[in-house]
Amino acid sequence: MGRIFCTSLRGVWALVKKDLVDELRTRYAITSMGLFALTTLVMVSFSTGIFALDAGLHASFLWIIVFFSAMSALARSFIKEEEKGTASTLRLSASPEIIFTGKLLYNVILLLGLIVVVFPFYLFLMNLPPGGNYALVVVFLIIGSACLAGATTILAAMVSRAGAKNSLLPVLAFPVLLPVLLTAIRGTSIALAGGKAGGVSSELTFLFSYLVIIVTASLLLFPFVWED
Amino acid sequence: MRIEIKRLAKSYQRKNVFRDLSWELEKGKSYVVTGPNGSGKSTLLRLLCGLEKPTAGTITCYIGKKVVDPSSTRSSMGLVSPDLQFYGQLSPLENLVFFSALRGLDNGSDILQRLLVKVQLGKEMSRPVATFSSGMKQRLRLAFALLHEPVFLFLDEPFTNLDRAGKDLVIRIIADQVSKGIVLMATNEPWEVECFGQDILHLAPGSMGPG
Repeated sequence: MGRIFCTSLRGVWALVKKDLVDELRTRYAITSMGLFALTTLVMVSFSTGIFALDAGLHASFLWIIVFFSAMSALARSFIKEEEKGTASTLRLSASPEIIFTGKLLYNVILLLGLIVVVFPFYLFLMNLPPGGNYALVVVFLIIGSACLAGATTILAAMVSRAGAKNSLLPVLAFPVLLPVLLTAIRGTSIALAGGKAGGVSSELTFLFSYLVIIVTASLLLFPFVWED
Repeated sequence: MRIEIKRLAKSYQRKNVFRDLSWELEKGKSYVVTGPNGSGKSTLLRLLCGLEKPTAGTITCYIGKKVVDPSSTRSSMGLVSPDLQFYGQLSPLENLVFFSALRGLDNGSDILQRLLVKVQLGKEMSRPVATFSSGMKQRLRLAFALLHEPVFLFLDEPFTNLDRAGKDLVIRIIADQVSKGIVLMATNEPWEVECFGQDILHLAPGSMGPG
């Protein structure tokens, strides 16, 4: 049992490493995601620069930027395997669970990388209200990103064999991710207004539960999506 | 070692590729499946590897007298097919290291390098696969299929794009594999059918088993 677990972990790590190396050499997702995020951020900054925005608006802008930037890149995780013809080679080499977990972790890393770039730029370009609980904001960004990655990974696998793959994902993801976005925006808004962890416990519980449910359901569903 | 195909059928959108196909393959022989384009040769190989699911019928693999668990058949099968592609940004060695880790194999870099030398890619180990010719990619497919030393080897048009040395390599691999397990080749070339077809399955579009 322990040996199978270690072998699976090795497979998952190999897939994450391969995707990271491939991405660093092609820079497709990093470039599209980074440019989209920075352009949107600058546009938001210029268009709202003269207004004093409240915490709720800041949280909304921040999550909208993260959501659409993520959509432009996360869909690629499975689409590129189908387009390059490597999906069959992957299917022959590993169990669906290893493939899904590897792709999920890669997407989480990609999103956290996006946040590492976007959040400091957001702080730099926008006039955030003073007294915000930034540690809590970071917690929401991390757990919210994991939820985004979890739902997007399984949806990307579903749309990867469809015709209009890239445009299909944001449309499909919207209803699935709406509860996450609304909760993350509310929690981030409270944190930016200086709220403490006790005041956002329901939001944190919801996001954590969503993450557990979406990952468990995806692991159960993925073999049918991947192999049929 | 044995593969038992019973009343196998495959159809796409109600169009039969083949149906009622029964065949038995045993250790120590090389088998050939032949037939015109669209007769289902590649489909049969994909079904045997578990890359596709049959519409009806069963495929059972035996190692000794033990039935191989369908979830683990892929670890005992190797496939060479034009459908299989590799990561163009990675070198052949990086590709093999990756697939080896995915399969949970403990192949060290030296074992994989030897495998690449065996398929005559020793000098191209560090070059991105994207820069490879079709023949070199075919050699990499051979290395990929042999990575885990499978007992069942399925070859879909294995001589495609290969030069004389490459063809000799495939002939050696087949001879070696026949002594270890089962080789099944899909081809249209008459000389390949004649050379390797100790048992031949002729498929016709929508066919109903061995001809």
